[in-house]
Amino acid sequence: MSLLMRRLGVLGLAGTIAAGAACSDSTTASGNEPAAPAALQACQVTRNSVRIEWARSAAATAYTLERADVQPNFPGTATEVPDTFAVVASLTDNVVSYFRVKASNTDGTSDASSVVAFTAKAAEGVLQGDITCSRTLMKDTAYTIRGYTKVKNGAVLTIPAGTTLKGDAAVAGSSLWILRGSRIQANGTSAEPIVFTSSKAAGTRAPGDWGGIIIVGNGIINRSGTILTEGPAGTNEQYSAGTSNTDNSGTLRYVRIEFAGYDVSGGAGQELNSLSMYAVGSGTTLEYVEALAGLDDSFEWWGGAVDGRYLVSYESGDDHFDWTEGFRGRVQFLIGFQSARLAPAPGRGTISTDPEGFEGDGCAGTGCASGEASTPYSQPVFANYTIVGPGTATALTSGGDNGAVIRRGTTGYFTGGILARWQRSGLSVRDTSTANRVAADSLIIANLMLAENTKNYLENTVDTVTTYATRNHVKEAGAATTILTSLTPGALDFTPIGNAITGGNTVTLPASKLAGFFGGTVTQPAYFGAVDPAGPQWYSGWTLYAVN
Amino acid sequence: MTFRTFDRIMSVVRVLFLTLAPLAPLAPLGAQAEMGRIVGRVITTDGAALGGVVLELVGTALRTESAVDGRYVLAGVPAGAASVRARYIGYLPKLVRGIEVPAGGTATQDIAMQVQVVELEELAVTAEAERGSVARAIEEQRYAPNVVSSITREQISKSPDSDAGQVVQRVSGVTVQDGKYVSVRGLGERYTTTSLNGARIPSPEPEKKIVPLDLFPAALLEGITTSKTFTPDQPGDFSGAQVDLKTREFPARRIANASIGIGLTDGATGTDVIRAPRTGQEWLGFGGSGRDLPLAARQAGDFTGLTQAEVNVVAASFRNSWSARTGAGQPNGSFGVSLGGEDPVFGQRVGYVASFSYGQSQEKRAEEYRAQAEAQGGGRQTPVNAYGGSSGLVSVLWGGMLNFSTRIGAGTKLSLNNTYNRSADNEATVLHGFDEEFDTDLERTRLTFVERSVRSNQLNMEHRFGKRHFLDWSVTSAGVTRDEPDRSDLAYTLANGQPDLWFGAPRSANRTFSTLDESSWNLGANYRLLFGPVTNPASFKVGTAWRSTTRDADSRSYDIINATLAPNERRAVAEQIFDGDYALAGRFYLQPNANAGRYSADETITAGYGQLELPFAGRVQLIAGARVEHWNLDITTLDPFGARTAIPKEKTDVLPALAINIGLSHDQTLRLAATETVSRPEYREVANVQSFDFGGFLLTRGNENLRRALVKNLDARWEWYPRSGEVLSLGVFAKFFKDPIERAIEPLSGQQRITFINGDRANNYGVEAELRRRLDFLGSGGERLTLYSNVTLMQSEITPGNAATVSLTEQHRPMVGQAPYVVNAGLTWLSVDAAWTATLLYNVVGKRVTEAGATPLPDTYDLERHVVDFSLQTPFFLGATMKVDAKNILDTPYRQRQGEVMTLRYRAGRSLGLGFRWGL
Repeated sequence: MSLLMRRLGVLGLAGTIAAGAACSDSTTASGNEPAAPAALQACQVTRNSVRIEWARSAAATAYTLERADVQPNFPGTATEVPDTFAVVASLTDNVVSYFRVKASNTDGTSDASSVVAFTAKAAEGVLQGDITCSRTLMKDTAYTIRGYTKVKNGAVLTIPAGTTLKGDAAVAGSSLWILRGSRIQANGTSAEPIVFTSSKAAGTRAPGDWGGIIIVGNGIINRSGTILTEGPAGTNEQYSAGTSNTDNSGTLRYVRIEFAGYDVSGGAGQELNSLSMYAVGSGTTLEYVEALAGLDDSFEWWGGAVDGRYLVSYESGDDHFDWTEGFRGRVQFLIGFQSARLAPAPGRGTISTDPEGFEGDGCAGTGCASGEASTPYSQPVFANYTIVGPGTATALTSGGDNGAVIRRGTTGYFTGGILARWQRSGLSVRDTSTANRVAADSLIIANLMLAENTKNYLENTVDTVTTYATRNHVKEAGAATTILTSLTPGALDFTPIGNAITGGNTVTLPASKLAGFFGGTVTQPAYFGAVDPAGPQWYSGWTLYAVN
Repeated sequence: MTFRTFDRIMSVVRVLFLTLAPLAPLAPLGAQAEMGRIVGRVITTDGAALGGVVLELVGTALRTESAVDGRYVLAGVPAGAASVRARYIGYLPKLVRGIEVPAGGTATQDIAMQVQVVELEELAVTAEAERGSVARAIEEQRYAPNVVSSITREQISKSPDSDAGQVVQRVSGVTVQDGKYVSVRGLGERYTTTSLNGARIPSPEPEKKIVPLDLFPAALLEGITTSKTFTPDQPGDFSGAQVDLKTREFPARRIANASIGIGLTDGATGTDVIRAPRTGQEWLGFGGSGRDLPLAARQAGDFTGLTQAEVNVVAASFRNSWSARTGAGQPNGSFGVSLGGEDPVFGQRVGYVASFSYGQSQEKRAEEYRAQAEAQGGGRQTPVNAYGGSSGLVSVLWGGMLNFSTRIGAGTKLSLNNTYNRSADNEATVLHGFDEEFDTDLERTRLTFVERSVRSNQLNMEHRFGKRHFLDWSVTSAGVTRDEPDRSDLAYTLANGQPDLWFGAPRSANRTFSTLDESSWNLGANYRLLFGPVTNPASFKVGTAWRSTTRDADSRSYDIINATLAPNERRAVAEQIFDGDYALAGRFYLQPNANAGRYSADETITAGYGQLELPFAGRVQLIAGARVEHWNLDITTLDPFGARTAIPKEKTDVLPALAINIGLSHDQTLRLAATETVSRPEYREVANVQSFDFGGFLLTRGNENLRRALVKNLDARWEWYPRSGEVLSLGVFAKFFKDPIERAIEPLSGQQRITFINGDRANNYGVEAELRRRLDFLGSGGERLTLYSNVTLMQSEITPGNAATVSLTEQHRPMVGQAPYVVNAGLTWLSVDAAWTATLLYNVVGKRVTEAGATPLPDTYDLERHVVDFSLQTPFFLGATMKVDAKNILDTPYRQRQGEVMTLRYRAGRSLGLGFRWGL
């Protein structure tokens, strides 16, 4: 043994010497020069200029920025820089430049940093990995979102109107994440919406081709502890422990999200939603957003208090609108329309067997300190919604096909809605804890028109006649087409007609719940549903109806 | 003791060891006046010389070994009456009393060793033989340089135990979970390693390190040794205990044994029991080709690019077996044969043992209840998703062994050991309950068939060169498989308590195909040198070991989901729905999960060690040494798109050990030990793939960032051997873990996921006591009763940390699997003519954490369970022996509780067995 130990000792010593030798080979003489700069990144400033920035190296007095057209040509153009950033302008379109930095002081010059590349205005752009400094996209570039792509570190991703971004259907989990502290500024227009879609050609697209948009804000949820978003380990993010329901994650305006909802769990049934809003605060702007043919929910809110309006969900893979874990935003003017259950892209996820129009939860799972009574309660306001199911055109699913399932202790205020063509039921206030909220007037479902549902109320919905029909002005219509103009895919017209034109404001909701909404209040117009019979048809022009 | 103090001591050990090692031959060995010596020869009863026999001067640490010609010298023996004990594996130990040693003179004492005949231990149990065998276990414990506990063939044959899992339960401080997974001193099973004749057995369990010991029929075992203290000649991932199963040694003369047994299980045999439909050669533990992954599914891969028509073909390709059947429970049955002998082959005497055993048993989990706990606020919980029902399980276990050994000259022993064991469980479970997510009553049916096999082929050679040099080496090839071909999960809605509609949601018609194949090579060589005076030699041992393991694990599952079936079509029985017509018509969705459980692992451990045993003044023995281990693990996982991820891990550890054994008097020993060991993550724990646990509705994923844990161990133990075969010992131990690996729950949006984390640290303290005593003080007849008991009390606390990824309710709690107490007790009675024996056994394990609770739910505990077994062995006609076993007499339910919610409860049922054995 002693021999063995000594040999090992000698080996260890030899290793140290060898390592030492290797070190001295690679550095200049004195040994006191600064370390190579770290955390180099290239942040776009304008179309043809870039800001190269890096972390300060201890004891460095100056830096040299090197720029080369191809990597082996370093040092290329070298420029001395006094600070830890430099702006390089006048870059040529479609030409890639490589950058690296060395730090220096009177003792010498460090090794070179890692290399970053930047291309000014490429015809094609790929968004992937972490986006850690702010950047502005170009509308005339075709972007691909490849793999889990995350805007973080306080960066702002600005997307001009008319830009198209395609989720790469060939790479696992292609999705765009806006993490806590960062923002997305996606300002489309009715004429030039911003489109997030599948990388597959139109006609071959399917739900689940790519992931979707995931926003993690700093809002408040009612689960405690460390709670992670959906997504595989290492790519999912904590969204619990937020501190401000007025947090701002940016703007989504005139945006379409198509064929999203990829299963991130490798077949275990964890699909991403078209738009996931985790603890998104009310500073965020959300209006004129369409989710088309996603594999999971179209819109889902976990806690937070973001307000929204003019939301459209066509042919959802699961629920059209889903909230849970303390969501307290207000949403007005929503359309949900389903005529078929689209088959997912093979191998990209599971079809839902409990698709609903609304699915609202109070709190469920670990971290719900008081179970379904955990606070803050989920307490959304939904006003002027038109949610139309597929009726009996599709097979009854195992657990779904309800216009609204309100459960697990959620509260909330509902007014001016239409729930039509739901094969199981129009309205299900599912469990005792939720029924108790109705009794306590913290869950008010009022001014609702139920039409062409197999049943208007699920059996276990308590006290339907008194609570809803009489007290809350819940009305029952005949065929859906007696209250809505056209429900034919391709010729959709959600303008209310007949009995849906008046009476949608019979019951007045508490004003305090409606105030401070997009600079005004949540209004209570006379009509039922999402569209004013006097116009405009706010959903037309910028939206798309397609099934593949 | 703080961690720092411990470190300081261990660094002193390192220095001391390196300093002492070269000086050791010069160490003073305290020769004094008034001494004499004992010389003699050790022979077999046939008169042949026997080398390598350990001879001990009783009451001292003085020991030597006989040379190749059988001669020995014990010098430095105090004048007066002396006793010498001789031990050699395969022979009954012998104690020679009353040797008169003259001062300054020599006493001559030859010793004849008797071969330990298998038949002797099994059948004609005389009081003498019984004492001999039990005494041997105690002897082994007494003279081992570390803390060990042994259980012998004798004890095994007296207990009602039928497999190694039940046997090992009788060892001090041992906890057995699920009847097969061993943990020692209440530490989780990850801290116990298992070897067969000294070579590591790979584990067939995907997430575990331990080998299910119920794979080894008790009849094939010579004994089980449990070491609780690390010595450098043992693998460094020893952190709680090493369990070594020894297969039967070769006998000296020809023997043949046959046994047959029948039994019944209360509540199962003869009553209605559910079971899965059979196919293949299930009675041999083979599930058959009918359970293979259908070709269409295999070719479909992850379904990328498939047309709907091709998907339909896959959906139609599954074996059309979904529903459980009901039938009368079968009686249990078993038989075994063994042959042994030692015969000349071309003039060379070759010993051999061949044995085969086969058993089939029926179990039923009656009154089965499962639920999940949900927080209600104010620290209260309520059950959700509560299901009740029953399970039926038919198990087949068979195994064989073929061992050869021979001596070449007097200095070399060569042995070839081969074992193969196979088990299969056919299990059906039907549960009824309320599903909260879907707001509906459901019937869930699971049919599963699990086959496991363990193979080991070992070539072992021991050489002696002269009187001071010993070399042994071994080459072992081992393989394990675990296949769960074609598990089916089915869910129906319930109407008035009867199955109504096929549910059609995800996981309501699921097929899962899992395979795991692992093979390993173990090479090891040890060299031992005796030095210093012949009378009281010190020994120095060096060795090297290399182990290479390769595993391929693959799990694919397919979910059939309703697309267009109307309720009236879903109202049919499952075999009608899934007969292929609907599938081919495209009326289902089929969701594959092709790669989620797929990974491969290559692990290589290269080790070298040195260990010094130094006697001081005849009473004190110092054992010091260190082991260097280089660990290299490469895991490759496949993501759902088929992309490979490689996870490499590498670490070199130097693990010191220091032990001091002090002979307090001729029958008392005090042992002190301080050691450092490691605990490495299991492959599945590192493989960063996600798979769905259908039963628990939880995702499981590995953590590629797991590190190995470092464990510092302190042991102290006082042992008293008042009479042959009797022992009283008291021990204390402490373990300090850095980065302990624990299972944890990651809360996700809408789901939970099990993962594995390195906790910050954990400390573990315990006291253990062992007693074995003949009850002759009770008066006449009392001498025929022997009482034995071992009790371990433990306390542990873990600081899990990792608040950034998991949110645990309790930041300080016992380690998972840690029981506060373990009690084993037994009472044996032997008739005057030693023909009748009766044994009563009792075992209880205190409540222990099975899963750490995620906030705000409390931790889940397995509750304490009292188990009483009884066995009676009597002579029968024509030389046969009859044995009656009653197991699980109290039938205490198995219970798992999370706060106010019972999360699992079932009864296993009492069983009664009757067996006959013939020997030639």
